[in-house]
Amino acid sequence: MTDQEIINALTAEGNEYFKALTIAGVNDNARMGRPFIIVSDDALPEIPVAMDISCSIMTVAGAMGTVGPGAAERIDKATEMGVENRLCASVKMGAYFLKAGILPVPDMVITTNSPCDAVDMLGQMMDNYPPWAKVPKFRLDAPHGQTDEDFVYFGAQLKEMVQAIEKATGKKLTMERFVEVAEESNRQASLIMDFQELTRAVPCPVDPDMARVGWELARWVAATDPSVFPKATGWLERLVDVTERKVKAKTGMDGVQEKIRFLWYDVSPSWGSKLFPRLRSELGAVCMKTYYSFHNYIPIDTTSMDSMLASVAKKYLMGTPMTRQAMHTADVFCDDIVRICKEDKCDAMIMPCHIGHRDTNAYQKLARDTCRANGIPFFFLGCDVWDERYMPADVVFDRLKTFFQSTGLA
Amino acid sequence: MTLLDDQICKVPEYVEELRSRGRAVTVSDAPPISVALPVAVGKGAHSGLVLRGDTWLELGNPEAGSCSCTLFTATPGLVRDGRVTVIGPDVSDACGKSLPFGQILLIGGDELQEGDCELLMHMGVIGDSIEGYMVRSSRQSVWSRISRDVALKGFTLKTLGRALRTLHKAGSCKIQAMETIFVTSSREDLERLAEIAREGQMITREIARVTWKARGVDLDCTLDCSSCADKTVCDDIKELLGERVSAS
Repeated sequence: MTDQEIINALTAEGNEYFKALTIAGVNDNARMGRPFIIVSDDALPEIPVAMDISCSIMTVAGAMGTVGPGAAERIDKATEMGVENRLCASVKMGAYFLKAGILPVPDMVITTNSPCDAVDMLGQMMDNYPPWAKVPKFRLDAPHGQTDEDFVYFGAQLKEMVQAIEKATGKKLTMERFVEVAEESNRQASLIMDFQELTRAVPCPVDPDMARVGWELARWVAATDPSVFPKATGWLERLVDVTERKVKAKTGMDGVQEKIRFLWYDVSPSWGSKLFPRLRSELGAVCMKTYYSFHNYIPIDTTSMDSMLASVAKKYLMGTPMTRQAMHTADVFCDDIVRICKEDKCDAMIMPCHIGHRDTNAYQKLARDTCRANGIPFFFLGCDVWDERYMPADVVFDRLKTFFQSTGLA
Repeated sequence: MTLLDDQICKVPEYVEELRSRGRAVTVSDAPPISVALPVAVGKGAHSGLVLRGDTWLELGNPEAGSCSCTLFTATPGLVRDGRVTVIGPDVSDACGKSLPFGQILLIGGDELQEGDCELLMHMGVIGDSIEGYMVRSSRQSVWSRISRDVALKGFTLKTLGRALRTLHKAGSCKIQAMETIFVTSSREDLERLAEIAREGQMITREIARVTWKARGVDLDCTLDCSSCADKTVCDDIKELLGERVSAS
C-alpha cells in the first residue's frame, strides 16, 4: 500500500467506527449484551472499558445527528420543541432524541455539568426524563479549577461513580484491569502526542485532524465497545508510522502546496469537508489544530486506585477538548493559542465563535488582544459549527480567502 | 523588592543543598551574547522536530520526572547574567538515556514589572527556535529531546542555557540578566525544586489574576455554591427547569 492508501484506509476505518456514535449506534449498543449506560458528556473510557460496560454519549449522538441527509429538518424539529433557537445544535439534537422517544432505556444514566451550561441542562433533562424514571442515576460535579485539590475532588466523585455503576450493573472495577487499561490509555496518549509533533513538520505530512479521529476512536468509540480500545492503539500506531515516514521523506499532504498554516480555535464543523479540503487545494491553507485535534499529554498515575482516579480526573478536566476551553480560565484559553501558534508554526488564528459557544464569543476580545500582542493575525468568523445554513461553507471560504489576502498570506 | 525575589533567593540555597548531598554541580559563565553558539538559534532555526530515532537524549519524560519555573525580578543584582549551573549528568554522558529534568530560569531587569509576566511565560515556548532541540511539553514542566546531530556537534546544557538566554534577551529589551539552572540528577532532587516552583506559580497566578482583572476579566470566582450570593437564583432556575421537563 502507498502512504496515501494507508491514510485513506485509516480514514475509512475511522468513519466506519463512528457509526457506533450515532443514534442508531446508541440503540445497537443497548443490544450488545453488556450493561449499557447513557452519559451526557465524555465517557471517561478508562472506567467503562475496564468494567466491560458500554457507554453512549448524548451530546456526541446529538452532534452526529447534525450530519447527513435530513440534518437540517432534524435541527428544525428540535428547535420546534421550544428550546432557545441559538442553543448549540448538538445539545438541541440530544434533547430532541429524548423528546422523540427514540432512545433505549439504559441500565444507568450518568450526567455532568461539563463542559458547559447547555450540556448541564441536557443532563437535567436526562435526569428528569419520564421513561427513565426508574433508571439509577449519578451526577458528576466537575470543578472549574486546575489545582491538585480539584483533581482529587473530582477523583473522589469518580470513585463514588464507580461504586454506583457496580451497584447498578453488577460489574466490578478491579485494580489489575484498571491498571492494564490505564497503561494502554497512556500509550494512546503518547501516540497522539507523537502524531501531533510530526505534523509540525513543514510541509505538514498528514491532515492534523487525524489526531481528532484517533482521540475520538480511543475515547468515544471505545467507551461504546471496549473491544475497540486496543484496536484504537493499533490505529494510532499505523498513523504515527505513516506520518513519520512522510516526515522523513519530506512529503506533504497529497495535492497540497502548503503556503499558510492556521489555527481553527473551536470545534471542527460538521460541514468541514466542504471547507478544509478547498482551503488546502485552492489556497494552500492547512488547518493545523482545532479543539479536538489539540491534546496535552496527561498520563494516568497507576500507583494506586486513588492516584489513578485523581489522574483520570485531571485527564478529564484538563485534557478533554471543550472542557479544557470552556471550564477553565481565560488565561489557559489564551495561553493555549500562543503555544499552538508557536509550536505548529501557524500564520494566523481563526476564531470561528460557534453560535452555541457563548463562552468563546465572550473571549473574542481577549483572544484578539493576545494574538495582537504576539503578532498573530486574528480573524473572527461567527458561524454555527453544526448548522451550515447559519453561514454556508462557501461564505466561510470567501471570508477566509479575503482575510488571508488582506494579511498578505495568500 | 519584587514579588518573586524570595523564591529567587531560595534557588542558591537549593543548589548548595544538592551540592552538600554529593551531587555533581558544574557552574559556568557564558561568554557575551555576541559569541556564536554551536547551533542555530532564532525563529525557524530548525524544523522543530527531533524524531525518536534521531534522539540522543530525552529530558523530563513524565515517568522520569520534570519541573520548571521562570522567576523574574526588578533587582538584576540577584541574577548572575550568563551563569549556567548543571546538577547531574550533562548531554555527553547520557547517550540514549531518559533523564529527569529541572529547569529554572532567573530573569532580572530594572524595568521588569508584574505586567511583563505573561510575555516572559510565553517566551518559554521554544517551538522551532533552537537547532536540534524539541520541546514536547512545556506547561509547568519541560519534556524535551536533544538530537544526535547537535549532541555530536558539542551541544551541552550550557549551550541550551546560552540559547535560552539569547532568545529571551532578543524577546524583551527589559531583560538585563538571565541565569539558568538545570537539574538532571534524580527525580527526588526535583521535589524540593517543585516546592519553589509551586510558590512561584502561586505568585504568577496571582499576577495573572490582577493582570486579567485590569482587562475586565475576573479569574478568581470560586464557583463555590455554599458561599455564592447567587445560589438561590441558581436553585430556582434548576427547580423551574426540572418542573418544565417533568411536565413535558
